[in-house]
Amino acid sequence: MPFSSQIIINSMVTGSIYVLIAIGLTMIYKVLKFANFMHAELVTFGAYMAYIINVSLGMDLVYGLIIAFLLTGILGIITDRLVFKKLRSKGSDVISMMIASIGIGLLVRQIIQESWGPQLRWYEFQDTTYDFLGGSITGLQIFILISSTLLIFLLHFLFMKTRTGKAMRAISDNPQLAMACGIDTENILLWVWFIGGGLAGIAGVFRGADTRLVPLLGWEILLPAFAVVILGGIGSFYGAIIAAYVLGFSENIGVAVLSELSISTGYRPAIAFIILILVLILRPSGIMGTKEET
Amino acid sequence: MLTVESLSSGYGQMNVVNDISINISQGEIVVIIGPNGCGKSTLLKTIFGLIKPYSGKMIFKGEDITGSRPFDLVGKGMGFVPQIDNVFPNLSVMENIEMGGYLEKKPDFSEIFDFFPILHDKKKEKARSLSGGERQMLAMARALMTRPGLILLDEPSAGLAPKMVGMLMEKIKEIGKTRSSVILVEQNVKSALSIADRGYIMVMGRKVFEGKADEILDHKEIGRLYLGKKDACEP
Repeated sequence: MPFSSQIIINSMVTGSIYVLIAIGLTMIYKVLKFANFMHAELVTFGAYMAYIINVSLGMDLVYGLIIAFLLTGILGIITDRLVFKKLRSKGSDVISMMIASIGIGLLVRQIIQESWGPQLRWYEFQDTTYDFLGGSITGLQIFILISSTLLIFLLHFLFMKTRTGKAMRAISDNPQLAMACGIDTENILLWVWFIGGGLAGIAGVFRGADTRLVPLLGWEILLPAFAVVILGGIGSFYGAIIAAYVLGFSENIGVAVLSELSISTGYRPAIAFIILILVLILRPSGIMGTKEET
Repeated sequence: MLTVESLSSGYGQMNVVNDISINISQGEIVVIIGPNGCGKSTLLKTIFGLIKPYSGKMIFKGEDITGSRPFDLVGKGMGFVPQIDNVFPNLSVMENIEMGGYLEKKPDFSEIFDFFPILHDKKKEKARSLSGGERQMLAMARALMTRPGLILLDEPSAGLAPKMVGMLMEKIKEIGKTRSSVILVEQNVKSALSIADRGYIMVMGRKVFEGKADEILDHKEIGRLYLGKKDACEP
């Protein structure tokens, strides 16, 4: 039972959503060196932006997805300009930035909760269920799997082949030297926030469509997302991708095992915690982690 | 090319560079020597805008650049190779050079590889896997990609084997001849002076002597006082 094809499908979908969140977290961590706790709320924000388009305005969810990507990316840019840029120019340390990100996160979450209330909400879309190797997969899930795979390849292309992507890696390696190359680091940071934020927005829509919308949507998956980042090796893009699927599988297999043993599946979130703790004890550098060079 | 007038700077309350005036003309190699911890690197960082000066004035190509940011100075034609952290370790050799040419519309990579053939063979390797000497070459290649009129080199020979130092100095001499004026901060006094046109000696954040390179080399008193033996400034 634990290794049924259904579990593989569910794990891949969970993993795909984690990937999108973890990549954004990793990008911001790599370049700005702090753990961005408001990332959870970017996920939620994206989900509700798509809700406006899809339910309030009655348009197709695909438009909601695109708008969610753009608006969440822009929200990332705005918070950077209003808060993090000011902290940077003051020379604030990463702890201050992290605490600021918790603060902004709370603010965004409260605004969402005030605007839409705490009740569960659902997108409006037609979905078809297909039989797949003895399990079932929905059209939405197929869409999630394909589009997140495409996004991963697109990002790989961005980082390895484009001028902006290479500049991002250069800033992450050595910000002072990047400036000495004439790279406008502030300008590149805007792209980091836009892409990282936009991916979080997409993840929010996927999660919302696959489950339901609730103001805690992002907060619920922030911990697994951090577990992914740490398991992958903090700051490692490719590590995070592998780790996202590892965690997706662990959670879904874990849930199957829990129900086999007649234990409540409410323990599901504990699986990410356990993995997080085990990694920190056994291999703090993660799957692809390297020791920080100074 | 560059005129620095009575420049003072430092870190917060700690005054490191005191009332320094130097200048460099087109095509010149000027070396700044002096014992460790006496403000040579701080002077370079101040010129390049990484440290804000307390007072003084800097004129680069006829333009007042006092207080300009590094980003702007690169655009104006100044290059800087820091002593440490002077490459992008996780980027390949090629990518490091590409980043150097970030502002160039059509960067000429083949030309820079002709100048540093050793880098051509290691194009695809990560910069972190290079040897110390190769790393310095890469750092210079990166800085030269912006086609600077003036390049600031902060102790490029630090930690290198003597044979490598010789090779590096030859390269720097060639850079001065064909590409860019060079301000070189060095601890390897003799080899630096042998390729330089002029030199300044800095002690305790102050300029104590300036003159032609061979003058300094031949000057017994200076050699004895500042160069040959370790002095009060050395920790």
